Amino acid sequence: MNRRNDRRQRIQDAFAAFHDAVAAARGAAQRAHDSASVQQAREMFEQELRATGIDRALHDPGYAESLTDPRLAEIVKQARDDWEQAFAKWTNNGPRALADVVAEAAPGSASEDYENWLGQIGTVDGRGPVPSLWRIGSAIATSSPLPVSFPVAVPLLDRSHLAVFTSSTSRAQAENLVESLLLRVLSHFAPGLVHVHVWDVGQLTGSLPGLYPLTRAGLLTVHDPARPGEMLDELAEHIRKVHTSVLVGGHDSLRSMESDAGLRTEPWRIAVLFGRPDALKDEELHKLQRIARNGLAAGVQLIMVDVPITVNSPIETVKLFDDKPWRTTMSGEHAAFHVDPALPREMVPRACAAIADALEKRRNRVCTFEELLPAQFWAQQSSSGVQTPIGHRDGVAVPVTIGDSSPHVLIGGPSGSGKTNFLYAMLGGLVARYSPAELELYLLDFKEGVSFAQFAPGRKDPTWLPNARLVGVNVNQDREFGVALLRFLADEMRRRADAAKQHEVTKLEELRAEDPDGRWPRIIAVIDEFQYLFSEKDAVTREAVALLEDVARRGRSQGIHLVLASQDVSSIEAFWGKPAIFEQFTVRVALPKARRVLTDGNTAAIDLPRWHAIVNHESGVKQGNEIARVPDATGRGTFDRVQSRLFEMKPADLTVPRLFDGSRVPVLADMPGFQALEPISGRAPTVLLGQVIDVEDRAARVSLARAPGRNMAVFGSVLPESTSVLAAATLSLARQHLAGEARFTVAPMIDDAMPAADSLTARLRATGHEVAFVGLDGIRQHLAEVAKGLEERLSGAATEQPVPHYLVLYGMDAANAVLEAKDPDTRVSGVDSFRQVIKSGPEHRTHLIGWWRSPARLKNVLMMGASADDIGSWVAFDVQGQDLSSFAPGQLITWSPRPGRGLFFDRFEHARPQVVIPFDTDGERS
Amino acid sequence: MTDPIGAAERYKEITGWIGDAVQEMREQDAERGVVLTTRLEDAMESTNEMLTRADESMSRIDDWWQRAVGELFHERWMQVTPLPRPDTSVPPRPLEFYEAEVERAYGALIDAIRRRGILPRR
Repeated sequence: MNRRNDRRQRIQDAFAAFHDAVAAARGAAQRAHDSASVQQAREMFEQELRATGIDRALHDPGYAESLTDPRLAEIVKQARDDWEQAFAKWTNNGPRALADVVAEAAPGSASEDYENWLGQIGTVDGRGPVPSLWRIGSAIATSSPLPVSFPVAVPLLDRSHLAVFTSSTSRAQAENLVESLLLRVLSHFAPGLVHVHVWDVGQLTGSLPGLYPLTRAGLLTVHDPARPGEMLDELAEHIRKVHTSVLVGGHDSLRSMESDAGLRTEPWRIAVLFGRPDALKDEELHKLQRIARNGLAAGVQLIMVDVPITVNSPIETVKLFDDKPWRTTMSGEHAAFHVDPALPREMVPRACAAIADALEKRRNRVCTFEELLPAQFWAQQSSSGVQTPIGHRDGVAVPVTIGDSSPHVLIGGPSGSGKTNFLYAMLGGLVARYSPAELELYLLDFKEGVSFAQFAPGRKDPTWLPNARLVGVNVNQDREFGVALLRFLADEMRRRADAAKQHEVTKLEELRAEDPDGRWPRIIAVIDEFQYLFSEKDAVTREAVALLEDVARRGRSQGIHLVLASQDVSSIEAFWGKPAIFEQFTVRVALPKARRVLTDGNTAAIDLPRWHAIVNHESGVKQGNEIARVPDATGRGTFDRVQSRLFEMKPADLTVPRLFDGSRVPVLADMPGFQALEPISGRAPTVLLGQVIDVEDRAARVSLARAPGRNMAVFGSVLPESTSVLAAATLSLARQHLAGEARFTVAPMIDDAMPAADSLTARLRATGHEVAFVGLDGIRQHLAEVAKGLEERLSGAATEQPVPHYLVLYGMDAANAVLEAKDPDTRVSGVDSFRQVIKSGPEHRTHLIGWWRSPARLKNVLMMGASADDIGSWVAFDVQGQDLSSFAPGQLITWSPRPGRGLFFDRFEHARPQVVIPFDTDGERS
Repeated sequence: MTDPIGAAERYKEITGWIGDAVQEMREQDAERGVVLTTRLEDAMESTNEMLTRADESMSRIDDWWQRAVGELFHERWMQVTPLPRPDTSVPPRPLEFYEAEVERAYGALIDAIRRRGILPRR
């Protein structure tokens, strides 16, 4: 029994051990199995996860369990790390950088929350700056490990159009987007700078109702849903007009013009189109495409909602489709876009009403001269032309452009219409923008008064306008000065053409590009009351017409521009008869009640109120009219202030402009030509007679060479002018000889001349010169002695070098009777001696400087050996032209005497006589 | 706003980083995918081998168990327990070790059954 029990016990023990071994082995096998299965599953999971992408798997419910399975955690973590690594640049910097870009490029209402701007009136005017981005919503990069919202903004004005596409349920969101965007733009700029056009195929009223208060100020135009063509035609016409009348200075867009001129003069027009796929006919689509293509350059901006169109110009797109995340071309294909919440309903019309009110107020306000000025003086380039605002219309600046395609300006307006004020406004705006190296002014005012005088240094105001190179005032009858200016311009034009030819270019703009170191400013010559130039039918008018035609036709490409102004209708009418000139004046400015400046039938100027002007860059045709309110530019603190500021800025080496004042007598002692005279030692002395009417400040001069005929005569009965010429001539000779090296005879033959002769004698003696003072009673004897001396030389009895001897004879015709008496011994008359002196004197340095009150009286004694040839040069005053012909053979002299002017002719030098102004010789210091 | 390179261009350049990141991530995933695919074949083979080996081991052990239960058939007094549950807490050793252990325990059991004395079993 025991044995059996033992056996059983042994079996039980062995079985228990076996059982444990089996459990252990099965456990080991189970474990091996499980571990192999898990390994396999991990491999397959990772493969699948990588194929799906962790970003998507996270949103996939099918992955929910695996992603939290601790056995797969490592794989999930690795995928996450890789994901974060790939997005590190975006996550760390992207949203913040975008916020920075938007904050910088879209200041104020362009991107800020509406609380900061809605209802406030924009302050940014035509001078900018214009935001380059405008906020429309926000977006989230959905595939990013750290989805942070960032602002979405689009480029707009001048830069890009905007297209929005919707599904039926998202159309309302599109309207919100457009409304907010328009309010951002409208609230940014000064009222008037942005006009809105709305066309909605679906409804006449209803779309953008909040903007309706803008209509009363003309800032919003709602177009007929049935006639989209009308709006498109209006926009196309506007684009054409901008190209023909505003972009005339070589600019291809308003934006480039703005950046050059520092000012925007043309408002933006934003056209909003709410369409649907078949809303526009083919023809209309083509029109729209053209507008899209050319609009941006002309300030026309399209915002299109559901208008299917492909355009060949910058455009950003917003897609608000129901079935997928919303996208914009700005935020890209990987960011889900959200439209900003709509603006509070009741605030939008209120804000629009405020903008309309502000514009109406602004329209009634007078713009100031200050508003014509740029932010920075002398910052503009004149290569392609010059431009300045001259006033405002609806709060927007109206420009005048002078350049290759609008070369010359004609201004008309009756007396008191504000012509001078307009000129000041225009010149003020120009000189503030362009430095003297960019723009030079030549200013001429024919009428009496001193409208341009302040541009030159004066007694009260020592400042002068740095851009001015020549200022002519009180020109009146000195039409020669106008001709001289035109001649100067023609010469300058040729000089520029030659330089251009050398550089193988044709235009100033190209020449400046080729020769960047050269000084090639544009030149504007302003001639006020230019009709004086053509006031007589004479050689001056003929020359003026020829020169004007030359400059008007060819000046444009050489940067030489004319601004002609007149108050006189007839003068402008006379101009119409010269189409070759007239057609070149494409810029017309009509002041109130001006007639004939614009084309026939364009009578807009007749009803123009005071302080307004029509500026027309299209040769005066009606559609070119731009009406501007011109600010006061002549009052204290306007132009004068600009001038004194520019005076401070001027380069140190800039010379004072030449001032020609027709009413002022030039002072001999101040003439540079006189100051430069010095002892000549043997050379021929020079005689100064008066001031030449010329662009340069020159004296008329005669060389008293040692040659036959080098005597000088003054003709006329006017005492001061005649004695002035004698004095100027003698004093200039005195400067050219050291004391004792020349002899002077001063011989007054009439009592009236005594004071002048005395004074001259005294001044000659004061400088140490030897002077013989001879009266009527001594003249015959004196001449006889001089003649005798000459005869001795002629016969060879005297051979030493002759001492220069100048005989200054006053009223010599009065001595004719005395001279006719003969010497009882020699039977020689005074006339004979006179003839001897006048004929043989110059060769022996004895020169006559004589005044006869009539040319005939001199002519009468010039016979028997002497002739008119012996008077080589003369100055005539109150003498008729035909009386002078014997002293200027072959010349048809058309001289009408006028006060303070003489006609000067030197037969050795001149082709034609020229007009001179006698000097003021008193107070001269010599 | 004077913008030498253009704010809009700068803006798009930055939003372009998202696309770059997405592309980089997809590329990385694709690369990893290729690695996994090529590795997976080898990996599957070895895990399959492991599985087969484990399953073989399991059925071999089950065999031993059945044979042992068969041997104990005549021992009517013997209360035979059901097939033991795998004990996965055993120390990690090669399967061969445990199989050998089972074989050895089986041998001991048979021995115990066979050593009954003089009378052969009938």
